[in-house]
Amino acid sequence: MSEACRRWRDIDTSAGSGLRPSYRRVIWIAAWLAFVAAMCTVPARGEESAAPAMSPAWEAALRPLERLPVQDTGYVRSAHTYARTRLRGITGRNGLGELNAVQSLIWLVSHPAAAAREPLIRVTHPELGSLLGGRRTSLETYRDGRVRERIVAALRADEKLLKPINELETRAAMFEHLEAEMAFVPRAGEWLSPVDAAGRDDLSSEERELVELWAALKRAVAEDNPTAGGELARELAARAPRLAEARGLALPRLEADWFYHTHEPFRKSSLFYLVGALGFGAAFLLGRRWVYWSSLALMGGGLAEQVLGVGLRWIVAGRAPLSNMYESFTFATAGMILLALVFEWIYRTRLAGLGGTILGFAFMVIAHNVAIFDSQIRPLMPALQSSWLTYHVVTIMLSYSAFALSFFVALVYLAKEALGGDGSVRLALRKLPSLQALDLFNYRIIAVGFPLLTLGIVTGAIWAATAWGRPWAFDPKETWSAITWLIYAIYLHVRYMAGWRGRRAAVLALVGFAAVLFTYLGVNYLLPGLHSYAA
Amino acid sequence: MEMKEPDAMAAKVQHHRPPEPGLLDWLSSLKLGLVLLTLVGIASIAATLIDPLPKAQQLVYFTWWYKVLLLLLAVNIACATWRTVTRRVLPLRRLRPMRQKEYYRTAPLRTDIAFHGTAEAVAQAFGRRRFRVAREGEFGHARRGYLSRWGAPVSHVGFVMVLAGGFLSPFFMIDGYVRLAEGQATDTVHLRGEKGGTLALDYQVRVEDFELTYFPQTEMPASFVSTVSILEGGRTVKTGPVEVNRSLKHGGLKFHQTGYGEQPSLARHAVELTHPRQAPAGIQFELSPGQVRAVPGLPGYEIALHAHAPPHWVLSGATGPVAEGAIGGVSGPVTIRAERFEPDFVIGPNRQVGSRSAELRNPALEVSLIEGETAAIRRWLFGKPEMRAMSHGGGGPFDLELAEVRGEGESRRFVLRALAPDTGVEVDRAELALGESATLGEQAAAETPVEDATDWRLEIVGRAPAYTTDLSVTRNPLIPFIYLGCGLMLLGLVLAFFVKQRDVWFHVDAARGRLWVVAAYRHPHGELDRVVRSVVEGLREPEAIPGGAPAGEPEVARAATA
Repeated sequence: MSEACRRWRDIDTSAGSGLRPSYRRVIWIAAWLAFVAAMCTVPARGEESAAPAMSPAWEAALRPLERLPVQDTGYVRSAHTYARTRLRGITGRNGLGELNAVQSLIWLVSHPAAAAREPLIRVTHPELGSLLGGRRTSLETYRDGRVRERIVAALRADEKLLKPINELETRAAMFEHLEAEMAFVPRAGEWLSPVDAAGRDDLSSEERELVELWAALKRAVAEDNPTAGGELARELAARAPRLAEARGLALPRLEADWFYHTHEPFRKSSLFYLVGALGFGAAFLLGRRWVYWSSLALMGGGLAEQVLGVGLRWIVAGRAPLSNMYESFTFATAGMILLALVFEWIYRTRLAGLGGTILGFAFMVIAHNVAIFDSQIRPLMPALQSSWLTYHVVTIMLSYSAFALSFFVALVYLAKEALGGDGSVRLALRKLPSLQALDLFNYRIIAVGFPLLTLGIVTGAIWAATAWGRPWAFDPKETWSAITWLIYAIYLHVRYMAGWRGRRAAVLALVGFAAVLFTYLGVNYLLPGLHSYAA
Repeated sequence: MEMKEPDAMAAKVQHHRPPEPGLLDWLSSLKLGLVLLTLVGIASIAATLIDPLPKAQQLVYFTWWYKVLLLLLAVNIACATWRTVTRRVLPLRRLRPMRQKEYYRTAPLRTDIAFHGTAEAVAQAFGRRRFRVAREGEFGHARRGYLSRWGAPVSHVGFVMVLAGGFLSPFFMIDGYVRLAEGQATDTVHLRGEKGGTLALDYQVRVEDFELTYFPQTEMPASFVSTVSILEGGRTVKTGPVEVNRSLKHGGLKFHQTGYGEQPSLARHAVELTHPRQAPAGIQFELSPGQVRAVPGLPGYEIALHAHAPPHWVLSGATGPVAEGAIGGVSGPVTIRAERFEPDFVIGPNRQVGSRSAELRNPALEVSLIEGETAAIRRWLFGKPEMRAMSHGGGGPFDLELAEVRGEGESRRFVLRALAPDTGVEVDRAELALGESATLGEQAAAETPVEDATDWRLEIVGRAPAYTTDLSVTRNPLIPFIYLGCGLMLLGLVLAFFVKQRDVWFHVDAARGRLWVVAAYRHPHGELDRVVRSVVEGLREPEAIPGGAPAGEPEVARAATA
């Protein structure tokens, strides 16, 4: 540990050890725990109240239906997951108003006429929004001939509207096929939706019973009879898995899928990070040891949630969850928190904890609110079906985690320097490690990230040679990862040989992280190539 | 690039051996290294903005100047590594006890304690903690983690090996492809990259089967696998699956699955044969154009789907044909004009089309489909069997193929085939020279379809697509060399960043009863590390100082981390 780090820690430790037990501390802890508990128990619901409504008894009545197995995009999922995924796709939310996902789904398919009139379909493009009367439109409006003409005219005037129109069309089609794609009737080798089954004359009696139970459930919902609806939902949810097992269709991951989507570990982790970041901020300013340890515990709690999330996704998908942007991003966040904990364990700077929790919270918010991060679990395309995927993505993402932390430390360095440096009289700046300690800490983080990045590039090259016979093909992603590697190599060399320290080294660390961001995000969307599937 | 060491020993050695000016100095300089790294970075960034990749390869990655940059970088790193090893690694291998007493009182990282033991005891104490120790009288030098010094040179050597491997690979590697339909075989590999051309194999590669599976209720491919056989002298010597991430090796070459496409003319049709009495429920089976096969479930009957126009089928019994009828439709004729011919077709860096050579390696004819008096669509038709699938589709009533190239030079003539798109049956063929026009399918369109006078009916009820599979064929004998370079790079980084080198000099001042210890580290260090502290603490003995204050506290001077 450097002189500066140690001295700074000693000051804080002495401040913490001097605190006597008091009521004030008990109140602090109680308030803290209450806040954390409140944050963790907030369920993810729809944001606004819409017209669709069901009597409260339906929530309990339809609960058994949440575990109904549904075949969807290559996996057998729970009806809860199916409903949530489709509703998010159509509306951008997990439910309609006060209704949960399954309630919303059953309401929509039981009230087709009313559902078509509801402004539920999300419109993201402002110009289309002005044509369709707002940020949401109804299926009826969207399918109206005059509206279609206006959309076609707008498309003729501006070809760039093609993509948002296609997205809108996908949402509308998803809405229209909500029931037609809900394949829960198991047959030998395939699953049928009630709509598919209606057109078949070769159904067995058990299959026909499932279809009739579904139809009766829809009628019960339409007639608002939760007692009968509850019975039907229980019956349907009990019979479908039995029939699937009789047909030899295994359902091993259904419970994990249901738990993953109801518990939402990644969203929960963001709350831990938020509170942890506030805690580390307080630990800086107040110098209380117990605040510091509580914040570390919160960071550990967030990491535990992330590990749980990764584990559940692994079980549900039957593969390492590292195959798309959402999965790699959440893994990188978990890796960053782990590295921050390790750095805290070794150096006790509090800066790693503060940076880790702030970035962890930011990353999780981005992962759940930016459209490019699709959280749906999808099957793995053939090119990615290799154990090298795990080695390559794990090492690359861990290196990115280290560089993200280094980015934060470099920012803190530059901010502190700009605001007066070590001689500043401001309390917040005085509590930060010295500029020298920040510079050294940044170097240590990069010294961890650089070998990991090298290993990641090497494993990627070996994988490419295994899959395509060429370790290097000058694909833009490969080239940009090499450029990132070059920038950090320059950082290390100028630091050793030219004595670059302080501001210049911090700026170079920022440039390096900009290259990381471009390699990770920019290349996928701006420079298509072999790695474009990673999106 | 040469690495400077912050510690005192390095400075001392450097003082005695000033770097000799000259070419080696320039080649191993940091400035040159940084300039080269920056130039390579800028050129690479610019190249990633060029689309498509072959164009970027042509304009940047495969150019002489980019290669010179990489070569200079490799030379720079190699020279710097040589200097580092000869000046800063090997010379420092010997332990040198520091005999200047003043050094122990002024060094940045130092401590001293009350000690009445011998220098030998101090050496043993360090030795127990896995330090290598040398002692000269009351002075000693202990070192642990010397391997760390090898970190930078080893990783640099690894990087140079990777660069050298990449640089030399084009001279030794084979990088080509074959495109084959199910059942097709070839002994010719088309080479990619700057060289182009073909490679003749002394064996044949045959695709026995291609299997494409999808994830349930999706259009997402779950896997695509080619079953590939190697034939030597007509005898199958090896058969195995080839899929992404799973290659087949033979004769030093590796066959990798890279892609696939449909081959309409080879499609198998799922047909249903019905007869009110003999097959009332219908008999379903697969039938390809040109195929004659037994009818399953009807002993003594066989059916043929004729491969020439007009598309029709014939059902034969023991006594001869019993029924025949039309299948699939033929739409109107098409007039085409031969526009341009390339004997060895290639798409250049700017997407311009040309020939690599004058030989008929990849013959391609550009034709216009003429509507009225204007050329409506222009298409390239390919002569190589594995390239013909690329000619199909793209408008017009038929799938067109370049069947044959006759003659040479200006007297060259081209034989074209027109295939019915739904059955793959040959509808017509024509021979023409460049600039000439021909109408294809005129007769077939005018012909009266074969009428079935019996109660037998044959209908196409489905289509089992035939696929072409794209296999990448590679060999690079330098791959193990490149992997070794990668391994050395990683080993070097681990040594450099995760092995801690500690150099400790000690002086036992028996007259004053004190032990003086000075430490130096390869990486910036603010204070004595835990291991050195624990050795020193283990040697500490109580001592009394007049005044009664506890004595023996080490005077630890912590240095700036510079």
